[in-house]
Amino acid sequence: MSGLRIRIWSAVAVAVTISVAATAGTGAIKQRQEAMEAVRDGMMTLGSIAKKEQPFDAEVVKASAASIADHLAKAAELFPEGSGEGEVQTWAKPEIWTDRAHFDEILESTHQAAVELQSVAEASAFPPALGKLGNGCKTCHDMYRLPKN
Amino acid sequence: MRLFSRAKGIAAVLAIAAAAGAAVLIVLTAARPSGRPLPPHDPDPARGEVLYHVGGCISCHKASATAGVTGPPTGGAPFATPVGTFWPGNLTPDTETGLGAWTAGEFVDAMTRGVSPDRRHYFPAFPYTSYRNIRVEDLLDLWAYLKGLEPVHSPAQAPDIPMPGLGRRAVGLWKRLALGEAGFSSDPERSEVRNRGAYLVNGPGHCGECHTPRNALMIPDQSRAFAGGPHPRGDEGEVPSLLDLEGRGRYTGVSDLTLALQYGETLGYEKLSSGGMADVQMNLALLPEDDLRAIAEYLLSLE
Repeated sequence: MSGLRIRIWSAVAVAVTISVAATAGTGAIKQRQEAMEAVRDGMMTLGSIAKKEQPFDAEVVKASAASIADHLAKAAELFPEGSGEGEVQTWAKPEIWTDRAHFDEILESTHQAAVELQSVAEASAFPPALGKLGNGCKTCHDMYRLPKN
Repeated sequence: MRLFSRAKGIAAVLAIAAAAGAAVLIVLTAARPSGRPLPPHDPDPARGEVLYHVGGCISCHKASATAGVTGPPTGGAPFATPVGTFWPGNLTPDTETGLGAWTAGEFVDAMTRGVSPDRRHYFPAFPYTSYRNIRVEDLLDLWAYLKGLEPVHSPAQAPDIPMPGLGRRAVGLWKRLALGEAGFSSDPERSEVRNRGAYLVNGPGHCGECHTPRNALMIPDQSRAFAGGPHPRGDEGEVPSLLDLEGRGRYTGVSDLTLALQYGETLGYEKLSSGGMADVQMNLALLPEDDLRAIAEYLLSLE
């Protein structure tokens, strides 16, 4: 009798733990996806300068790069332990949490590339600086993001 | 008795012939430095850095398989080939494990002759087959750049291949067959930009190492230069042809291809991320735009 009770309570406890974890995961997933959207917006602006759809303007570059850098500076916190799944879909690979030091290292060097991009004053220095930032995005996505389709 | 001495005579002749053959082989397969003096040159490490990125040195000499393209070229990551696995060396100026004790002449010999300071042949996984087209002055710029890096202690591992000693001798013979005339000559009929592109592609860029098909002896078939073919790593499908890229609708023109080389997947050029091109593109991303345009202009001129 008491054995059954314990079993029921353990099941409830497990369910509660899972749903709490899922909720915690859901929050972080949503937050980081919003941050990625913001980074993407910045990259769209920088990309249109790269494609010469709009002229090089040091102020515009600075503002976009600064916004990206701010988001990247906070990005590590948006991947807390246990946020590998939640109620919304995530493309984060589990390796983020098993290779945490390497993941953080890439985030930091990508952040650094965004910081360097902020101080680009001449059009000729812009492509390699944006390229370096793009390399950071790509390196991380290739290793730690599941294919999107 | 007579028969015996005749057999002895034949044996002696055979022994002499074998010894002579071995001697000829040893001479033919020996690894020799050029012995030529270097031209006077005031090296510019900044120009050397550009060549370092064109060559994508870090792609093979990175610290680990997961290291990015911006770390120091300490070696440590494996490089798999059909022959076996190589462990490219440490290019930082560490005296014990890197290039610290090398002379400029030894560096030039390694890059253009595939010969190490201790007079051994490098396996052509190290693409001196293309690097021998680099101008000596440019090599000295690259040397100055490498010498300016922070030295890192990182001993190289021996290659994991069957019979490496004999293999190196065989490379000596292979070089005699595979290596034509070295150097790059500009085509006066073509623009300066296109010539710059041709130089970068055929020298430091070593694009042909994968994009030019090889014959049964693994010698690049220059009559089909840049025609694509099986991936040199064997299991990664086909390397695409670089011929007639515009006519085949791959790129709309120089600006399009320049953007692709410069930004790759970041701007949606996903083809630049397959089969080893991701690393190549990430190195190219660090080049001045003029050099990328030159590369694009040359590539689009290939028919």
